Amino acid sequence: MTGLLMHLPAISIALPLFSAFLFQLLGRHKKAKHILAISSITVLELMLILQLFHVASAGNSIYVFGSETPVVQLPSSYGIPIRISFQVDMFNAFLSVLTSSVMLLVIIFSLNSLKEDVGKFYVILMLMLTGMLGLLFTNDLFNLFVFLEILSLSTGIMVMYKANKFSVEAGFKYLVISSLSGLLFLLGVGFIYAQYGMLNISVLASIISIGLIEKIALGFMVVSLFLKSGIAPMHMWLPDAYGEAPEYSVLGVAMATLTCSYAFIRLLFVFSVGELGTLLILGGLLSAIIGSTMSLIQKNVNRLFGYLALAEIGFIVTAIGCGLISTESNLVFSTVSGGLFHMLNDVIDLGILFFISGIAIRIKNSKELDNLSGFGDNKILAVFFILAMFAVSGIPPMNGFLSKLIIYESTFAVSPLIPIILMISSIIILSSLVKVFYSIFNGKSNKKVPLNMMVVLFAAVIAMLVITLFPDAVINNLIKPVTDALITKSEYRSIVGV
Amino acid sequence: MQIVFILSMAVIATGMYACISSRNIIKIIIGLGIANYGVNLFLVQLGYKAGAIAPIFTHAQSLPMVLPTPQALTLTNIVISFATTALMLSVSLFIHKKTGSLDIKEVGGLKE
Repeated sequence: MTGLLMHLPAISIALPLFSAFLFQLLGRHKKAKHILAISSITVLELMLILQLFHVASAGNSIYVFGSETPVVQLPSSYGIPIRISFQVDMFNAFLSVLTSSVMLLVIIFSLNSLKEDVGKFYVILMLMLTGMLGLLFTNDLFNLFVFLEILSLSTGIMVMYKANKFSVEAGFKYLVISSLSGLLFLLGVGFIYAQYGMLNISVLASIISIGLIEKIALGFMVVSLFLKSGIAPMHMWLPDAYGEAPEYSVLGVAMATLTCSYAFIRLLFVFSVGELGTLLILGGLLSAIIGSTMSLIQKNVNRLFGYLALAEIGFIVTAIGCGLISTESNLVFSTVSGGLFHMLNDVIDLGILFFISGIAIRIKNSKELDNLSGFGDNKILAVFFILAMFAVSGIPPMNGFLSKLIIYESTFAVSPLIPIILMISSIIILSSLVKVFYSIFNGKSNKKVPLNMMVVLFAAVIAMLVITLFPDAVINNLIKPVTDALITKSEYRSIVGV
Repeated sequence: MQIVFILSMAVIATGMYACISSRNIIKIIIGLGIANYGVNLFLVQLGYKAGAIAPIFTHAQSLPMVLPTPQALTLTNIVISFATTALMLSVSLFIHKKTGSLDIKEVGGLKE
């Protein structure tokens, strides 16, 4: 392994962290801040793609902080792995590329929405990115907690960014709930430490035996991560946060909650705690029901999309929970790959919806559905919205349909009731999206859409169409190795070499 | 050991109850702080070893040493909770400036 490739996991955390503090040095140069943000995140994106290809060809890579060479886990004279380490496998490499692409799109999308305080916005965005990437790569339970707190503090500030009465209320709610859930997570970490005397996830996974204490500890962790990723019945902060976050960066907040759900998926799979899979299925089904039905009565467009995001996360979590409790390897593979494929589709499709609502909110300067009309003459936006609407509600031939079909087929083997509930919630999602379509694309106003917003929208639509047209290529080349990395724990466990 | 464990759980429960039940924003933040102290107490008592010495001496007596990981965890948690508390207090200042009240029921404008 050459130098750069070996150090990539650490550099990809350090780059957004350091560039976050560089913005303060630039003073009043607005243009320089734009250039710094876009260039640093583009470099980061390229490095993460390089890392994805490297991991795909050469297997998991590990980075140990403070040792002689970054690949040595154990100190030469000591038997317990006490050093903090990062581990990158296909699953988190894939999610890191997805995260940084979303953040790049969010930055380009928000270029001309920002007023004089550009620097503050970019600082928060970069810190969010640091938290997310650290959360994805870390191989240490306490380090996971630290990055979780960085992520939730910066997300809370991002929710409050508009600094009006409502956004501050939503942000305060989010901060209280996320710091309470952070404490619960730390308590779980304490229980694991008391039992095993170490915090390294790979080593723990190879020696753990699931007894009562471990179940209590993992229960604390999973409940706290449910709170952070807003899965029902702990979703009370989520619609507020999505509805009141700035319309140009709400996709970043959505990505932050999705990244928190990565943490419990990884922990449950690597510790192979099948018993808690039922909790995931119940939470996922409840999220799908509550998200879809509550979206029907919303008047704030981003709040409505927030409930849709809740329903879509419910789909993902249900599929992954089914994979966790089933014992046949075929069934595990098909449910989990359906869930992960839906994760990719969900980010892209909801991204398009959030971008279109962002354009509408920026031009009309209101978030209420009643005031958003007047885009009937914009044919491109209307076509894009219809495509994304079909994709989110799972209508053929869009990409959302493909992943939902895998989920329906595979979860049917676990219980026939699950796909029925999911299908009903899909239909309700379609009806609430039709309502949004009718209110936005009604009447004419001849307003011009800013160029940067159209560029971002086109990029997202092209990604959606590529997945729609070539689903086999995406599944075979991307989703299959990612699923294998998640469900075969032996490589993740054995890399430390204890 | 048992007593400290039960005590720390009681402190965490008290803090969480204060956080959930009170309507005043400052009291919610205080409740979070109390829960944080409980977690810190829990972490510190994990690392306690009777008769052992601190792992900071080069020429120490040949006694058992404690592993400093729980202390490191506690320190980090103190720093994080300090940052959280500072941020939330500044938000409460902002809320008071905007709405003239610190009662969470009166502040709330967001409905279903």
